[in-house]
Amino acid sequence: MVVYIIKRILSSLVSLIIVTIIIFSVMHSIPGGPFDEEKMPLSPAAKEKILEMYGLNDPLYVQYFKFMWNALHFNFGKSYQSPGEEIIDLVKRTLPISAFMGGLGLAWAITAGLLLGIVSARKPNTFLDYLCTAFSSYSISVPVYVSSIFMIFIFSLKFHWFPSGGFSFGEPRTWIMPIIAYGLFPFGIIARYTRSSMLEVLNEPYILTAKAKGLPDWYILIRHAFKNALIPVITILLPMFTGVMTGSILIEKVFRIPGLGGYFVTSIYKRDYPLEMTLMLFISVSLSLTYLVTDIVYTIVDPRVRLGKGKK
Amino acid sequence: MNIAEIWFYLRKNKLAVTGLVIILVLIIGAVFAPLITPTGYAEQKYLEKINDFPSVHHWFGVDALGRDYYSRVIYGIRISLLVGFSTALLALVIGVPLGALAGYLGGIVDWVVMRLVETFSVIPPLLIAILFVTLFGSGLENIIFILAMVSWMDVCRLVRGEILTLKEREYAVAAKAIGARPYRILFRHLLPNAVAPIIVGMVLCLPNAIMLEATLSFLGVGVNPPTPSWGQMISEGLYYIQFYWYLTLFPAIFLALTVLSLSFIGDGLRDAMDPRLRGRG
Repeated sequence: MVVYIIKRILSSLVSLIIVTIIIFSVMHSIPGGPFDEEKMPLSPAAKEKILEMYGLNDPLYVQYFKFMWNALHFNFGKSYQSPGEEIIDLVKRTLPISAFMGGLGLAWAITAGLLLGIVSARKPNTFLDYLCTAFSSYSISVPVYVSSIFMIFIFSLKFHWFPSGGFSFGEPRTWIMPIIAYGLFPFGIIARYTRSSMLEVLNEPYILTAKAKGLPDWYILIRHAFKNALIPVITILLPMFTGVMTGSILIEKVFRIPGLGGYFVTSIYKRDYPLEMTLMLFISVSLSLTYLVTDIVYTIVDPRVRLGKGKK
Repeated sequence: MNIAEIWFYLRKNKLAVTGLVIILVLIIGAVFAPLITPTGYAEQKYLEKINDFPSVHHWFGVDALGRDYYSRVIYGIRISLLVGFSTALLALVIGVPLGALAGYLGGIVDWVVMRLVETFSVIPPLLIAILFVTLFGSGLENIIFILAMVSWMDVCRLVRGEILTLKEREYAVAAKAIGARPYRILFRHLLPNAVAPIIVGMVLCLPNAIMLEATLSFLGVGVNPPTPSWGQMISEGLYYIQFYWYLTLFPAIFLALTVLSLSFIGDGLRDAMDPRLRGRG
């Protein structure tokens, strides 16, 4: 087990290094630079000085190693977009907002998704079951930005229940619609997976045995079926946490939330090299970690999964 | 597993059949678009009726540039399906050989291919796509190429897994024993038997590619105007949503129908080919 984990971590590290190299080179091959004069012409000397200050005159590989070395020490430099603060402060300022909304969104999505999945597997081909299929179909086929737009149209413009955008920690009214939006996609996927996984488990002979023993229905459902049905659901559950980050790009744009999401895109457009590298590094490290954790959790909860030669 | 058998099981899956019918109707609509629409997708014929509501003459209304919206939405089927199918085909071209080689040769080749798959899996496809669009520029051909680059991994994994099991089969071992070259075993004996998972991988890739194209076009980095892309129409409709909400609604409905039908077909195919899942309805 330990050998397996170490191997996994090492190979993930290799992948991460490839990712950073690819992104770094693609980023620098995009025509245009961060200090091209669009609005204010700069004197050549001044521009030279700025480029020198940010180390942009160094050869690319030097810039790459400098960034990676500093990143290892959690020093990501300054964003060109907001030169007043360190990138780490920018992330500290914006990430909590995205994490808060995304976290609450996932919370309702997981609870409701698991519940709906169980209930509809318990009574297949009933109204509730069709509701589950309808919900999950909706959530995979309608893009989250369309749902968000129509939520704003109906609940803000027509009924004036919620503000159409903006965010403040002190005002729960600004939270509601973005949180619903964050949860929509995970909710449908989780409900769908839970349903099919529960259906599969409920057909197993050991469920019949439990029934024959005269155990109460709900006990079989929770103790025997749900625990086993959860195993395949875990594989999609953990990557959802990072899926929320991609969701934030669109949701925060539609609801005008000052979170981290917008910076993923603007840092690319504005050739904001350090911020872009930092965000990509952040997202790829967290995704690799979730994959690793998923694999480890999987072997713990499902003893049937054997790890190569490790166990006999 | 032959096609007749798969069709036999697929036919019993109501959702998959519904999806199939909807997709067929959409394909017919796309092919005969000039016959069933009053104008071309870019003709600004109705400038005196800008933002007209849906009516008998203009089923889906008129957009802000005086174009018949129904024509644009119908021509949009062409773009979406073109993007979806070309992306899926290109993804096969990349994913199948890589997966087959990784599964058959194992060792260092397998390791390298799997690292490549992992590399492309640790960054969300949307972000890689945006990055590549800024590098290569937007436009239909570029978008297809870029979408293929971010969607070949699933096919690659599926094929690798299939080849891993197939190469232990007797006929593969027999071919090896009579001295067939590895190359020949792989491409003549193993891959033709892996067609089923390849098709499933391709069909499952379709809705994702269509959705991703719509999202890119929504963000303004997808297909260039005036090419009718649903994502772009949704984003243009956004400016007028307070009064002309149907400009967002119609492309969204078509996008949802297409994505949903394709994923039902994909799920149905997967279940039909997996004996354990058969007969569940």
